[in-house]
Amino acid sequence: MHELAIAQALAELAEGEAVRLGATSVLHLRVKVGALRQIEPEMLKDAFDMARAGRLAHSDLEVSLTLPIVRCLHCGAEERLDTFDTRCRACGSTDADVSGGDELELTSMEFESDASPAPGPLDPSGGAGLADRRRDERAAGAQADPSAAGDPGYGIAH
Amino acid sequence: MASRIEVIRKSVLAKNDRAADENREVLRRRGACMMNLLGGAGCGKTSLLERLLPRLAKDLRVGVLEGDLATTRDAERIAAVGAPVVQLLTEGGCHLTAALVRGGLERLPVDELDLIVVENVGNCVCPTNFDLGEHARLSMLSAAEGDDKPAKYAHLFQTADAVVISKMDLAEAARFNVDRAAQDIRVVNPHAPIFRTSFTLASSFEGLETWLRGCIAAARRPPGDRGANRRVLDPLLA
Ligand SMILES: Nc1nc2c(ncn2[C@@H]2O[C@H](COP(=O)(O)OP(=O)(O)O)[C@@H](O)[C@H]2O)c(=O)[nH]1
Ligand SMILES: [Mg+2]
Ligand SMILES: [Zn+2]
Repeated sequence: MHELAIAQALAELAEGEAVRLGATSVLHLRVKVGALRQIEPEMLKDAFDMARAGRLAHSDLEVSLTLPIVRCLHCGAEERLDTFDTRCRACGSTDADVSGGDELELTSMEFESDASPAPGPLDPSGGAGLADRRRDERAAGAQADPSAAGDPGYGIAH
Repeated sequence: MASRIEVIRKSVLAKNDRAADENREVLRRRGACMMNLLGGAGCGKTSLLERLLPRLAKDLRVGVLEGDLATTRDAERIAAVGAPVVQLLTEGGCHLTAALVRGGLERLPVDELDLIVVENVGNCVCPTNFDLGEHARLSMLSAAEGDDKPAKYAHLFQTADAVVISKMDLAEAARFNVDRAAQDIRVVNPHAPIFRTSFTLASSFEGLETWLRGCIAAARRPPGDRGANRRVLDPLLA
């Protein structure tokens, strides 16, 4: 059920991007989904099949899952986790900071276009969502935002 | 016809997140705090407000936005304890959005309020993805729902600033193991205070009230100071 709401938001965002980029037909969309979101990639794809229309009617969706990074506040160990268990593997402490793993981002789009219009300025606030805000609020340790590093390499493709 | 690939890097929920940021700005200018109350249908959200609002009303002004699929019953219950309330109907939608909340804020006397509580649609999953512009997120689980729920609905608890385990008076009958539930909450959220409440025990709301008062005070302070209340007052950690 919640995949449908996400799929609708994705379709709306992608349609807007398609217009901005002068796309006539979108072929392929890539999204990055953090494991903490509890979004099931296959369900999201099914929901997207129902939500897509217009320029997106023939697009297919690729979902990569990203995993949270947990930094132990006790011993400093860092680890990328594939479960919700944030206990430190090194020292057993439960005092940890979780970052990333809650991304929900349209990363790229492949499309056909008649012309090649100048792309508009990138919306700087576009990628900053709840995840980023909550990270900001946790203030303290100014660590690098893994979702901003442009590193699609760690995703698990589905 | 040419085909090309463009890097986008935008939040799927960018539109909602922008509306949420606007809500936050509206509240910031007026020095009001907003709390997003989340939990499954029937976990006791409205009952909690019926107990909590009169306690806060001694010296604070609190307004409520009631989210529901249908009916104005919860709004009537809140109005009965004397708080200004606006019913938000999602008409089938399983969660509130920042835009819906914006409409609600416009119908509340925000200038006169210290706190706005948003009771989200009863649902453990969907509302967790939608930022409403709140300062604090309170996630709720009742003893009647089972102690395995924190592990199953991890995002609900992972994004919480505080957690309420309600209906503790039913824990024994429901064979609810509060330690197990609290442990599973800790696993995904090491810092949020966990409060146990029961509407049969008035004093069980004290800790939550103090925490909420801290949130209200923090919202009045300049930004950057926020979140100072996060680690205090955890009866289960103490
Ligand atoms: N035994 C017990 N029942 C409760 C408690 N809190 C709420 N309830 C009951 O749980 C049901 C659902 O409560 P309600 O506040 O409407 O839940 P909501 O859907 O989350 O707003 C009602 O029948 C309440 O009387 C509690 O602390 N103990
Ligand atoms: Mg209710
Ligand atoms: Zn450690």
